[in-house]
Amino acid sequence: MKDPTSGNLDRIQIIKGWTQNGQSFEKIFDVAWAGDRKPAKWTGWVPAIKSTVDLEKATYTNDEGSPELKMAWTDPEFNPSLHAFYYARVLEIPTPRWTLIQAVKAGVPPPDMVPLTGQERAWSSQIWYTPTVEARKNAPAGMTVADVKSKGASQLGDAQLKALIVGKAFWVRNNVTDDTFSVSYTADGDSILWHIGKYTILPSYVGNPMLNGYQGATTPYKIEGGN
Amino acid sequence: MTKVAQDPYSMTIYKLGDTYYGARSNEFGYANYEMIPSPQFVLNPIKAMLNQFSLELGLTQDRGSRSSPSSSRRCRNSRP
Repeated sequence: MKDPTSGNLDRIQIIKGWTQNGQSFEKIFDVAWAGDRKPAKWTGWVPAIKSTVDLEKATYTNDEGSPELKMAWTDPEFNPSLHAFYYARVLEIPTPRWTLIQAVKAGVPPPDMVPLTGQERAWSSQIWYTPTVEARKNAPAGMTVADVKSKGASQLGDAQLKALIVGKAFWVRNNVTDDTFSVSYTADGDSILWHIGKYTILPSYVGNPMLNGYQGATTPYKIEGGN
Repeated sequence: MTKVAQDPYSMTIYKLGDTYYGARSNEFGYANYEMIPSPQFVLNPIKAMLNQFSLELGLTQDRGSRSSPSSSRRCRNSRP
């Protein structure tokens, strides 16, 4: 239910995080929303709500959104063998940001390097799902370093690594997600990932490889100590 | 060794038979990455498209290539 002194509600989201084989992931589910917007077919994402903000007056109306939203939700991708957390987030409709409000009050042009509107939000405490010992037995096994070593694998040294990757582009699969991508390492010490889809579920802590690949932004690398 | 947001991490590569596995230093001892051959859509985009077309229609690759004269023509033309 909305704050009586603030904007209507745009949507309720559930943010899910989970871990699998040493990688952590997050995903946002739109679960309840105002109006008759239809989620996108492939992503399930609900389109942005119409803004009522008057940029000249720094005002908004509650003609869009809903004073109340509610929904019972079940995780369609629940895996009982994996650790997970969930929390709810509620977004208001767009309202004037303080940068716009103060510019209008001062009678000066609003700054053009920051947003002029924003969507206020509230969020719940998280809940944690811990699988039972029995359920953990059904978790995807994955491949560990110990596994590959026990099968007779050898670690590549610096010279072998240079011969394998420097000046090359090759394809790699993340065996946790089954997503594939290409990576290249230049002789000048730059690396870049390519072919990562906009909707790919990426592990946490990989930066923004989609944008970097699209823009051709490289990341420096060096080979030393067999890494 | 490289960085994400100024924090370094490294990748160690292991060779097992003809397969290379990669283990990131921040993934708790898992070797989650595997070097793979270039996918078909890189080697031959048109053939990959035809295969997808056949899959969506529930056809075999052979029947799929015959089901669309224009597509088959494009496929033949793609070969030097």
